[in-house]
Amino acid sequence: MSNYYPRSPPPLRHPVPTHPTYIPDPPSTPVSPQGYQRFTSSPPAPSINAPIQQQYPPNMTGYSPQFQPQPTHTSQQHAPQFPPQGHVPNLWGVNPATAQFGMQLGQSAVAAGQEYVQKNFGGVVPLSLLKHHFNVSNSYVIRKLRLLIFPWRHRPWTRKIRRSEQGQSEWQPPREDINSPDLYIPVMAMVTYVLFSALHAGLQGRFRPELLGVSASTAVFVVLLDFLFVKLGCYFLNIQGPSQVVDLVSYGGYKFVGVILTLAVGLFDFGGTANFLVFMYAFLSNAFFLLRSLRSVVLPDAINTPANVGTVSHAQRSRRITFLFLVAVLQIVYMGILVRV
Amino acid sequence: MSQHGAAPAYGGNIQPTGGWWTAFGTGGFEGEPPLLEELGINFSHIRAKSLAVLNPLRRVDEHIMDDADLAGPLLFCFCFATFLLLSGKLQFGYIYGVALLGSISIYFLLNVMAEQAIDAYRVVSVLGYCLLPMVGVGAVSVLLTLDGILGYGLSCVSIIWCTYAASGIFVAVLRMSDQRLLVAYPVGLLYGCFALLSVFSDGGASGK
Repeated sequence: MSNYYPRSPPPLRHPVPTHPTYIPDPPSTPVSPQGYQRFTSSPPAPSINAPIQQQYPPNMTGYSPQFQPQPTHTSQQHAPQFPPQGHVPNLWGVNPATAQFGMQLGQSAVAAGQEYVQKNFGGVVPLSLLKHHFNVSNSYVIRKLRLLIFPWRHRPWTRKIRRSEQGQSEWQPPREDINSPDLYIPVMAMVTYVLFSALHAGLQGRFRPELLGVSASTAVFVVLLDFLFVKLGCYFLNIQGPSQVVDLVSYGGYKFVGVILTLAVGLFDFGGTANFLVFMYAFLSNAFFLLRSLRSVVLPDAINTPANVGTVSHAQRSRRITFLFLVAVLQIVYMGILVRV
Repeated sequence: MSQHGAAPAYGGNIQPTGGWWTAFGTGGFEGEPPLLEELGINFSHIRAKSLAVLNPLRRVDEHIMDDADLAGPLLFCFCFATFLLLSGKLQFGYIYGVALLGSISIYFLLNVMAEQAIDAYRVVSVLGYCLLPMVGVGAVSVLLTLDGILGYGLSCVSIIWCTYAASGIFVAVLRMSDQRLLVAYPVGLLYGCFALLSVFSDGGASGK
């Protein structure tokens, strides 16, 4: 390895290959004197079907191996740049010109396919909406976790509005608004729940790797069930609002915090009564939190709505309040499923 | 690049004269770079970057991971798996699976959380370089079992060290503000899985 660097070693951050790894085109060679036989074959024009199989090996035109400097993570984005003029290796008797044409055809086909997918399926997962819900900070997460465990004394539960440049009003990101739902806590809580249930099983000596899959499936199933119920209720009661899907998934994911708390307390053997009390407390705080948070979704205030959802009649209002209570009470079913680890 | 060969200076070609079999001979092709350099494996660079990454008291420069090479991380993963093999746990597949799944998840999370985008190679490179303390703990596990108080303590220290280094690099590279703990938590979970693999042998956790 001592002949690695003929010069001083390159700087740490941006290593430069010390050997030029790209063999350039040979300059045009002058006519050899005395007329001895040259070993280069056809001139660089690609359109000539040079007879390939005559004299092997002297018939390879400018073979430049495509050694790109190794950590080019940009190379994944561009197709490998072939130099022009038929510099295609003579593989298995395929005419270099045909091979190059075939490769260009393949590249354009792949590009067209990618463009098609991008156009038609690019909007399935609304990335900007996801980014809004992941725009969290340390202090937000800590305060929100405290809120989930002790929601009784929190005062204003309404979300803050921000007027964007186009004049539309939209919600503030979670960084600035403690009442805004986020996706970081639910996702992390779900992952923690899966790992925690595996730990729980392991500490009782009954760990199998399938348990991870079972817990993950249960968690996804419960969140899906909760979300479907609330969305169906919103559909039947004609509750409209912007960005409902992601918000409802966030609200559905907050129950995992209480479940993890229950499981954590259950790790220490305090007894069945203590476990039951902790579980009831977790359920009650989660239910209260949902009641207060979903209230702004389900019962629109005239003052603070971003979109014009209209006013509701008195009968509708009472129906919506009943729906809200039903959602909150059903949490005990979901949390009960999740705690049975 | 010298163009010497069998033919005199004007003729000949820069082309490898000979078929594919000369690659296996002792002569080799003309002007071929050495194998390690061709593969981009640069041992002194790997060592320098590892030492720079693992010093917990230094300031993280945001350009430290601009060249995301995967040779170092792959080497570390392989060493980790080998040390575990030497201590009796044949878990190459689990390590590969956890590394792959964890890297993909961290890649998605970081892309969604930060203003800037980051590519997957850099994520894997950072996570791999910060695995080095865990490799050290794996080396310790060859000699003495980790399934005890000392082992638990050592594993916790290595998890914290790895997580501290990785979250510092991510926050510096992506210029995230006030999100270090949020990055550290999933990264810590990932390294916790690695620690579980190294502490507990097949068949689950120890009993009480």
